[in-house]
Amino acid sequence: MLAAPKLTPGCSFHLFDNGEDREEYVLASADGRQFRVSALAHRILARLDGETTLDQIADELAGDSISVTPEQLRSLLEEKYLKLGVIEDADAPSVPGRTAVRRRPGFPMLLALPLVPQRLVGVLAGGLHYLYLPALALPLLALVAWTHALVYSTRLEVRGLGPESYLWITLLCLLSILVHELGHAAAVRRFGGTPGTIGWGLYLLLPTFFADVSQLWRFPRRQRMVVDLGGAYFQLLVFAVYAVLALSTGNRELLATCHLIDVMVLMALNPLFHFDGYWFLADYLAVPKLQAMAFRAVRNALRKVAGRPVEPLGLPPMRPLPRAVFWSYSALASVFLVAVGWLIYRYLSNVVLTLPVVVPQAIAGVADAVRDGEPVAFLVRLMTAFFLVAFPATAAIGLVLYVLRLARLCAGYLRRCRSGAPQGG
Amino acid sequence: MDHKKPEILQALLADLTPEELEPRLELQVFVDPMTLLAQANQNQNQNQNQNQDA
Repeated sequence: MLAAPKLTPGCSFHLFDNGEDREEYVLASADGRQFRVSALAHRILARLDGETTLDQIADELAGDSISVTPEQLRSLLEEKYLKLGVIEDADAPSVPGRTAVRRRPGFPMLLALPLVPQRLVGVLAGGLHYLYLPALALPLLALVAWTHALVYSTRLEVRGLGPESYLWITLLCLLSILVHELGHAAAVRRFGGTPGTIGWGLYLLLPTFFADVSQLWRFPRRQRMVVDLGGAYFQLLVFAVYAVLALSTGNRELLATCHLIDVMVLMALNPLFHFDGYWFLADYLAVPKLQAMAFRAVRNALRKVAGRPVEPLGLPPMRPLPRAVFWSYSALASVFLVAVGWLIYRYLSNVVLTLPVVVPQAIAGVADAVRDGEPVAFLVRLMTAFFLVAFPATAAIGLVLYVLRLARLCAGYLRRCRSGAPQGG
Repeated sequence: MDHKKPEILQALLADLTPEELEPRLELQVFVDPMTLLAQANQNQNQNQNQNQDA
């Protein structure tokens, strides 16, 4: 590293709302990754302009009673930041034409492909963000409530819905999901940000749509929470439109889709998986890695009961209500973690018995539709066949991961018991 | 200066350690409408049968 290192062009700092008075920053790298850094790290990194030497920075820090030698500073920067690509590395071989690559989402997203380009998302979000104006949002929410009352006082007759109806319902559901994702993007735009792409992928093996709102880490928590709920808000607006059309025309497909939209919204708000509800709760509590922190909190509580030493959790200061919410979530998530293995096992043991009968029937149905030249029946039966396999396969992957995690925990416990070391970590 | 003390350096090291923030994708799983509606249909049939039996 040079005597006067330089921050990589394209890096930027943003104040991080961590829910406490301690100042922290988000360091955004040119390739789209983001890091939470302390005020001191921000202070040091912000001085890396290619002209200020490490000796000068060390002298400045010494003036504030932070004692570090230039060599130690160099070593710290090399160890912690050089590998992140946020500091220009004079020793690294230069690659002409090298472009920034955004970090791809990892597991459990097995696949993530862009569907609506970022530029188009920006244009659409630019036109829709006015729906967040309070003068518009409040009457629209009242409309959502009114249409719910109407829909749930109308009996839905699902018998007699044919393949064509199912295809229409699927398309209407897909449209509502796309609007859901646009809801997140429009909220990002509302608060002056630039929304990312909207895409689709596989969450394990379940088809999933997503809006990339990674820029959200730079927003105040209240704005992050609005963005988290923005998808549900927009999808419920679609509910209202479908409901008005369904009740004025008597269309059963639209009415059925309204019910399905509510199911999807409730699923999205479930905080136990990494969906909108999870992020909302994480932002409300100012705990970015909420799930990991929740499990650590329960483990600490159990260790305390057993009279063993515990490490501090590092939770931000919380008022009584958020504290109660955090502990309720921690207990619920832990119970769910214990129950999920059993639930998946029960589901799979039922499904596996029926699969050898049902899957050949579904495939034969698809083949019949091809032979008879019925495109609608073909699409509907193909989708049925896909979901017949996709749901159990997703559950099977989940069960394998669950068992592996348990095995790892047990192995770690046994290892610590044998070595006689205190059980932590 | 007491910068040679290892505990001070450790504290500095901890303070300077960045934490990567995970990419935020707001997800919505596509629910198979046929499965859900078939379930609703089954429930309706069961309710109707129960009403008839009663």
